[in-house]
Amino acid sequence: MTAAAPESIADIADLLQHALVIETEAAERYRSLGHQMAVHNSPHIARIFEKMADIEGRHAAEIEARLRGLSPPDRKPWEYAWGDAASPEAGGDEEAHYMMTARQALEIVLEAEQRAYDFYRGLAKTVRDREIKALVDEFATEEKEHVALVENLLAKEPYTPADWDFDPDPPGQGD
Amino acid sequence: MNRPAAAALSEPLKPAAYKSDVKPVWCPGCGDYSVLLAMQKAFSALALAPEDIAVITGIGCSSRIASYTACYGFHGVHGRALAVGTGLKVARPDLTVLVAGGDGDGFSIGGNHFLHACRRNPDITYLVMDNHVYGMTKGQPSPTTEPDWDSAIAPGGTGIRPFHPLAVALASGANFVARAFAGDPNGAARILAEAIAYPGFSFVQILSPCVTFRPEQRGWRKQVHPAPVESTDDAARAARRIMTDDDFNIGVLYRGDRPPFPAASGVAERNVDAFAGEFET
Repeated sequence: MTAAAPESIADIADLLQHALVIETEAAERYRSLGHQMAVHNSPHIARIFEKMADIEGRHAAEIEARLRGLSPPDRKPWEYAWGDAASPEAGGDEEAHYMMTARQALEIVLEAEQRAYDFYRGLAKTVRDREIKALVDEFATEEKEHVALVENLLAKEPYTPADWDFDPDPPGQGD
Repeated sequence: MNRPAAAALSEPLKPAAYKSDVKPVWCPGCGDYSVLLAMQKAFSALALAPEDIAVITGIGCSSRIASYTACYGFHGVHGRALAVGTGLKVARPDLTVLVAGGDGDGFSIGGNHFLHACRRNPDITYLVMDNHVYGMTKGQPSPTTEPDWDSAIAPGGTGIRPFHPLAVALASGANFVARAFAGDPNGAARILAEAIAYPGFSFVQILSPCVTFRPEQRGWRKQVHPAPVESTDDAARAARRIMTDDDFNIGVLYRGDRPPFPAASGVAERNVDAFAGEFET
């Protein structure tokens, strides 16, 4: 599920608006996943997502500050580059599981960060305006750093055992 | 006197403004989280004020959704959400009424209300989060479950032909018929916004995976696809398309032109104290 690069980014304000939506929706998604895992008695997994939500929230605030005084185009949620799909760092939540391991949680995070990096990298190939391209490259570099950060965290996690989802009291009816 | 229709906000609220502080208790990975997000986005895109929206639900996992919004909500009786929603719209036509629930609530327990809401054509939107299973009560087959779905409670499957909600809605008179996918929250928001704005009874089936009892539904993401044809206002053509589709066509399939059921013309507001006084002996 990779978002296509937009055919045309109108200007810097439009690019910042795209970036703001990516970071805001990422923060909301991680916050939601954190709540889900906390509700299901998995506080250590919840903390992973909450930490990611804090990081994405800070980025959103930084971009919002850069947008101050600018007038981005008015877009409906489905009028962004990703169309009907979720924004690059959101979506794919069906991969969450109430018994998931830290490694699996980080894999979900890694996929999202990789999608964001791919989005900006794709965009960089289509943009001609030098000022816009410089900002796209800046965002791509940030996402690449996130990818590296999560890969480092993943490297410290043990591999997920085959019986990771064994539940002695499963929610089903004994099947 | 009925109130005038609520005006759109001059400055749209952000989608987060439509979410309450109540934390959902759905399973991690449940599609209903994305449906909630799609609802928030649709309300924001239409610049609706939260106090001008009423979310009416029945019983089941998905019917919890009313309490997760910052709008007015009514978590009603199993299968009877459409009756409540219809009554509310007739009495308060100024409100945007969104009725929501699951496939068991809407097509089994509430099946008769579904038929007659389509037939009556009130200006409301009915959103069914369809996961082909009763999730809250631990995984029984629902009206939309595939006949060969094997489970502990129905070994070998029920062998019963699934209910076809879009065909039934069309045949019963729904004015707007669409299918959406929870995994594409922006696409679902677009369809929902159009359904809410469309006059008459709008029915949206939204495929919303139950990852706990139907983990194979994670694969729906690879199965859904945009409907290959434009929507039509020809019911016969829509019927042919709906009856021959693969159950994974996403988009608006039918837009009719029936006039909506009219609002009540009499007094729709009363003083609560005076009304309560009538019950005192």
